[in-house]
Amino acid sequence: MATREAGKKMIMLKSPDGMEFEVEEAVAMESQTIRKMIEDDCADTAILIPNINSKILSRVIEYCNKHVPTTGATGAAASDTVAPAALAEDLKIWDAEFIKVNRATRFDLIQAASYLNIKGLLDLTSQTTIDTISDNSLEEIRSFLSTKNDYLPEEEQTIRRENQWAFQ
Amino acid sequence: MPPPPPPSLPDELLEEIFLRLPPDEPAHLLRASLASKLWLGLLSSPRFRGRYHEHHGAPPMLGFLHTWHYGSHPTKVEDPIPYFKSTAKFGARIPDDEWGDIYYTAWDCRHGRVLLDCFDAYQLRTALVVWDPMTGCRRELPRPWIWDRRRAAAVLCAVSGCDHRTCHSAPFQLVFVGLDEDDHDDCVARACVSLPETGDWSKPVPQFDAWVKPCPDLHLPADASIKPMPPLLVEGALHFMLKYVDDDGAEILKYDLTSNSLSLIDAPVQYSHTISAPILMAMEDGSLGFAHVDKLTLYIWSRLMDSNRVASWSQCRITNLSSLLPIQNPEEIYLILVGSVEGSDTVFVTTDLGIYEINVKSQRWKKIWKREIFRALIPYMSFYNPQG
Repeated sequence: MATREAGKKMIMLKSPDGMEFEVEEAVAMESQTIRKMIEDDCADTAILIPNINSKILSRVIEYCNKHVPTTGATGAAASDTVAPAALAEDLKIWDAEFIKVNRATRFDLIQAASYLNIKGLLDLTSQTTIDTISDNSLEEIRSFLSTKNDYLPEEEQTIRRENQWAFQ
Repeated sequence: MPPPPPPSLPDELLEEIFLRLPPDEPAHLLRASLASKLWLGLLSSPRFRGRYHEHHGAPPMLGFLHTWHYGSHPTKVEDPIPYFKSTAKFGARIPDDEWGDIYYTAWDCRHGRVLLDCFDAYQLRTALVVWDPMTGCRRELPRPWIWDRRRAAAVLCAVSGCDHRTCHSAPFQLVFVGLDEDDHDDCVARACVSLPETGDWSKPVPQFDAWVKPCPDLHLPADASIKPMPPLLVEGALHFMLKYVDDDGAEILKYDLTSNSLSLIDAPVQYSHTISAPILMAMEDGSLGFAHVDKLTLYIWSRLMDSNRVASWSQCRITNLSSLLPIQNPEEIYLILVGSVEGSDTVFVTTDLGIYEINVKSQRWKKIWKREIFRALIPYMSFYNPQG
């Protein structure tokens, strides 16, 4: 959970299961949905984030904390000593660790990223799912994304025969 | 007890995920569409196609068609299948009749449609064929009968205001340009446009209903010929490269689709013994481009309009290809420009090691094919569309 720092505006995010998270406004505004609420003056005291439980919301805040552009004293010091490319590489490694979660959590994160409109998190969670799709068999893809094969065997065979290039 | 079925994601989030499937690897989209009919419906919907195109910008190159130089054709000339080479893991779909006994030459490709000039040796019949390599559908139109040599043609989307994201099967039009002799043995250029053909690819076209009346003649020197390269569409006009046999000259024949008229544009340079045959480009900024190679240097010209609306050529880029591309024998090499990508600053050049795609703006390049001496390379640029 974020702690209050001098001179930084904090806001409160509430999950539907009753947890409260105090975060820097800049961190919360990584979410375009929350940014719009703040800019439209709809967020005086605390913002209730519906449909996102405290476990997922805390992970989302963790992501935003890491990805908020570094400004101010600590940020300036960091960018003085570390090249941008190295910072980007560091973030990539951090992202790869962050997304090592089980299937259910990943889906929850995708839904949260979509609702809160956090492009980087949506890209990360979606791309990780694409990598899963790309690396697995059709049966595994169906199982992973819970879709039921409703092709008749002969229909599937026809498509495979007509598109052999995709299965070689 | 078996575990409860895992929750699925709502369609809009599945779409969000599928948007990230790489367009230059169409097998992934196809495989996803084979997971279930639900997904096929989602992936083949105009909505998803539109979003996919928006997400990825310009379509990727899935393959190319090519024509051979005279004399460099492989020995097996009777192969009736058009010369389509995949540059991604993608298989062009051949029509159900496997083309029959017809010989084809690729002429043009735009917005997912390929235009072939065909000759049926058994029935002594000529036709223009529009082929969709994604679906295998093809449509034949009779060739305008008044010209038999020195000709070129283009295939265009006939939908007004189309963004060309999903128009593969929408109505199309052909433009046919030919050079012929008039009554005084002078050379004249003529162009005519086909009536828009509807998306129903199964119905034959009546012989005399296909073409509208040709545009007025444009007189040319008697030794003019059309370079056998696909024309470039720039600002509502098609541009064909002309060359003159007797004086090594080069000019550009412009057919304006709106005014239905032909005119000439001077080329910025003429041929010489060191300059390989130039090609036209349709540049990313919407201007007409002109590219030529002199020894190892690639020159790009762009035709821009000044404030008085007078168009003129300006040299916009000079690239030393020997410091950009791997070249085995720079002393003896003869680089050949074989094509370009419409709406992009990309050209294709043949070196002694292969055929390379070069973006002249970013200077990024990649090898797309082994060394073969093609006369023209016609890129097939398209997103893969799962067939619903």
